[in-house]
Order: sequence, then C-alpha cells, then structure tokens
Amino acid sequence: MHKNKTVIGLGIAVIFYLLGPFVLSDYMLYLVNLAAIATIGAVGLNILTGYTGLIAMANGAFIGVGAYTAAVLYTKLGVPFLLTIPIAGLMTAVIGMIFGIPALRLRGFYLAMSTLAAQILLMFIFNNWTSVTNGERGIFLAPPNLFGFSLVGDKGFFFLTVGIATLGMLFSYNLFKTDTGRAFIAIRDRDIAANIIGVDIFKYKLISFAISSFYAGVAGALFGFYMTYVSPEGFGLNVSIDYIAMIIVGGLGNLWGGLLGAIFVVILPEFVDKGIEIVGQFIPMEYTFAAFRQLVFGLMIIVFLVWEPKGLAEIFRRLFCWLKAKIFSPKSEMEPQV
Amino acid sequence: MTISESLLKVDNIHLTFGGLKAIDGVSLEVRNDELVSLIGPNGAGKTSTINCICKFYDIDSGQIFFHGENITRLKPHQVARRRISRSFQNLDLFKGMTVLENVKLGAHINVRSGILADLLYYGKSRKEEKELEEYIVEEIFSLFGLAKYRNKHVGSLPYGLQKKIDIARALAARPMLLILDEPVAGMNSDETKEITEDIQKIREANISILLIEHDMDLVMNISDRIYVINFGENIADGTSQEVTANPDVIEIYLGKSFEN
Ligand SMILES: Nc1ncnc2c1ncn2[C@@H]1O[C@H](COP(=O)(O)OP(=O)(O)O)[C@@H](O)[C@H]1O
Ligand SMILES: [Mg+2]
Repeated sequence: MHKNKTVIGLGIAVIFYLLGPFVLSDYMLYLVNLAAIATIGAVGLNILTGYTGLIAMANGAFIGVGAYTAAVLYTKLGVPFLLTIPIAGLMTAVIGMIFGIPALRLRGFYLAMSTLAAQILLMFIFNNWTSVTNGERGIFLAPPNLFGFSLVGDKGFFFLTVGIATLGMLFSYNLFKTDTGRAFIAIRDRDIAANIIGVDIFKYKLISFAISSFYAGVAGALFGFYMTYVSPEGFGLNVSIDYIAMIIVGGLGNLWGGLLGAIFVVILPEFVDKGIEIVGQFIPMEYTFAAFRQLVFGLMIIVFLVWEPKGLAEIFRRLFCWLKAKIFSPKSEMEPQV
Repeated sequence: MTISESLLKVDNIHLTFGGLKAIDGVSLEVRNDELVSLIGPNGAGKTSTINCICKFYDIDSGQIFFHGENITRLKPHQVARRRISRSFQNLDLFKGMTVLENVKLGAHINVRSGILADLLYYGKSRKEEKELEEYIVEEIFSLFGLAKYRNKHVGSLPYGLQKKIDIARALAARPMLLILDEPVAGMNSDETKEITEDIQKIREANISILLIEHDMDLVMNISDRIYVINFGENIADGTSQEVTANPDVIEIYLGKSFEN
C-alpha cells in the first residue's frame, strides 16, 4: 500500500516533469519556475525556522548573496554557469554562518532583530559596493549555455528549477530521517535536554544556518539567471517577509510546507490581481496593487497563525485523509499525526 | 575482590542561586557497577547536584571527576560524550518527535555519519540509521515494552509511558553512568514495580546508576550504597542498614515514614 502510493506519486511527478514544458503555457511555466525557485528558498528557511526554531529575517538578503555571487562569477570571471550555482550556495552558507554567530546566544525577538540587522547590512553592501555589484544599476546576465544549448526562457529553465527544487526537498526529507535533523528538532523543542544528551547546540545551530543559507544561495543564483538581471530591490526586507509568510502559510517544520507555501505566495498576487480587476469594475480602486498585495499577505499570515498554525500542509493532509476515507474505506479513521 | 574502581567522584561542590546556598559542600562517589542512591527531603539539593554533574549549572567551587578525568569545566554536551546519561525529574522529551525519534536522539553521541551523508541518506548514514533502529527496537524497546508506541508522538502518551521513554532515551547512549532523577515519582504501584525491574535489568548490563528517589522501599531494596543530603550538605552515607540506623537521618528525613 505504502509502496504503491510512492510509485503513483513518483509517476505523477515524472510525467509532470517530462511533459510540463510542452503542455503548459509560457505564463504557467513562468509561475512554475518562480514557485520552484521560491520552494528552494522556503524549504531552506523551514530547516532553520520551522525545524530548528530559529527565526530569521534575512532570507531575502541571503538569496541576494547567492544571486550576486553567481552573477559576478558568471559575468566577470567567466565561471561556467552550472558551477556558479553550487558555489553561490557555498558562499551564502559561509555568509549565513557568519551572521549566525551572533544569533547563537539569542532567541525569539532578539534573534529576529539580529537577523534583521544582517538583512539591512547586506542590502547596504548590495547597494554600495558598486565595484562588484554595480549598485542600483544591477548586473545583467546573458542567457547561459547548458550542454551547448542556450538556456533561455521559461521552458529552458523549467527542468533546472523544478529539478533542483525536487532535489532540495529530497535532501531535506533525508535530513529529518537522520541524526542531524533530529538534533535540529531537539534544539527547537527542548534545547537544554538536547544539550545534556550531547548535542553541541552552537555547532548545530551554525550547521542549520549553513544549510538553510545554502538553499537560499542556490535559489538566488537560479533567480538571477532566470530574471537575467540582479539588483538590490530583488532582495529587500519584503522578500524576507515573503519567505516567512511562505513557511507559516505552508506549514512550519513540514517538508511540504515549503512547497505549498511557495506555490501559494507565488500565485496569490495573480488572484489579488484578478480580484482587483473584478472589484474595480464596481468600486473605483485607489489602492495600488502592491499595497493591496501586502494587505492580503499580512491577513493571510494572521489567519494561518490563529486558525491553522500547521499551515496548508495540515489542511491538505486532512483533505487527503478525508478523500481516502470516502473513496477506499468508509470506516477508516483519520490518522493522527505530527 | 579489590575495591572497585571509582567512576564518578563529586568532591565538595558548592552552588548558589543568588543568595541561596543550594549546594553547600556535597561529596559523593559512584564506583564501577554500583547502584548508589542520593536521598534527602524536597529542596535538599539532589536535582541541583546532578545538574552540576551534567554541567547544566556551573559550580562555584569543588571538583567533579569521571574515570579519573577532571570534568569540572566541561560543557554539557562534552559530559554526555564521557558516557554520562540522565533522565529528567520533569520530563524533558522532544514533543515534535515520535517515541522512536526521541530514543534515537538519545544515541546522538554514538552517531558517526556526517551532515553530508545525512542530506544524501547514503552509505554510512543509511547503514548507521538502520543499525541504530535495530539496536533500539531489540535492546531498548523490548526492555521497556515501548515497541508498540514507536511511531506515536510523545506528547500524546500518558505520563507513566513518558517517564519510561525518558529513561529509554538516556539508555540509548550506552552510558557508563546512568543518572535517574525520581524515575517512579507520580507512578502507581504497578508502574513502580515495572520500573524497578527495568532498573535491575539495566544493572545487569553493567551500567552504574546514580538514583534519586523518594520511594524508600525502592531505594532500600536496590541500592548498594546511599547518600543522604539535607540543605545542600552531606548528612550520612553507607549501606541501607547503616543509613537507616543513623540518628541524624532518622531525625531529619526518615523519621516521618518510620513513625507511620
Ligand atoms: N534554577 C534555580 N533557581 C533558583 N533556585 C533554585 C533553582 N533550582 C533549584 N533551586 C533551589 O535550590 C534548592 C535545591 O533544589 P533541588 O536541587 O531541586 O532540590 P531537590 O531535587 O533535592 O528537591 C531549593 O531550595 C530550590 O528552591
Ligand atoms: Mg529534585
């Protein structure tokens, strides 16, 4: 039964992966690409915040570090495109660990403030270290080559972004099957007990920062190449907040949370857009789209925090259980879990 | 038989909280393969003493040795690596994990595979994970009868079971010294009997035990030696006969239960 489910799931994933670019419209592909990139960042942030319990407000800037690293390596140093992605990840992991150090002794509000400072400092560097970042003008990236094919547009990127997002989720899944992941959760749940059991709290918090930032760096590199342009405004505090929204809405400390939250946050503006269009026919809308989007966003975070702190992942889980009960065996109960 | 080798030696330790002297010169020793009990009225400083051994508290003065090594200045996770494990008086389980995962993390100090292997779940990581699970299911879950709860989240289980899981987790590290802080507190007589049997089985595995407990029947029955402390000071120590015959002990601690 369990095996069957896995096989069916894998089958659907492979079919989507192989056929996706040919059946989806360019616009849909664009959304999928954005969602895949966001999934990488959100799964990474979930490792730090959802599983290790460390609130971080600098994910936007960490994504920026990855984007700039890849862009500089690619445009200024001629490093092959595929190589820039892991290097961007490693670079961001190092930066993430450096900013993680002062955070080791802090919790909750103070940790949020310390990572907020990291966000502001990194933005300052993006804006002002012009010899490397070009400041506000940003860096343009020519479409990269992959195995001799020019990687342009939404179709070309689909395989890369969805492929890496899938790998990212797989690695995260593995992590929480093993000792390192358990140490993270233990730090979140009861750091004193974890320490007395033998978990070196500082070491594991740093590792969590490193892994999470690695994901952010990879997401940033992909984002830069996909947009063919890297500039500071892509990595501001609003981006950090978007990512926090993703994992709260998707499900903190849940593997699927990162994916569902990313999809939600990427397509939400589309719905808001449509909503404004429809409502705008009857009531003149003076609000700008951006302000309205932020409003809906803030509301969603509150709604989830209050009514469904386990996020969309939990809602989907219950939905699946309900469907399963309806379809297969009317008697089977909902499985209690997590 | 020669005198057994000293395993843990706590030498005249002091600890203050603000102005309060929680521990005012406690000394004790646990030798290889011994079961030593630490008793005393509530607030005597028993939990504080083991918190000092585990380095959760930094002592003001005194020294602690384990296997002849001075561990006074180690960090908590370093003490754990010396193979000292403990259970907690007020359960400290990881609520977000299943029973199996909680107990697995208890073996953290024995896990060798690194982070990269864990991310890939490949080679050493996969092998170690399988072996760990086998060891826990066969050796530890069978001892405590926990097998049927393995995939339950700990928060949903009754108190008595959680106590067992706490001990199971401490045992998973394969400790040389197991410290138990009131393992039967709040348990009914059946559960107390079960835990007592479990403790005896742990002893048979040549694990030394430092036991804190209020249940006098239990303490008197299974201890090799007993230390009595009060107001953070040693009052008496010796075998159960010696301790129960000590007038100071009768007066400050045992008197009540003896009279009844
Ligand atoms: N974290 C703490 N802060 C302040 N006082 C404490 C703390 N822990 C214990 N104490 C005090 O130290 C004394 C010894 O406590 P404890 O070691 O828990 O006693 P026991 O375990 O023997 O009942 C008590 O007076 C208690 O109130
Ligand atoms: Mg106590």
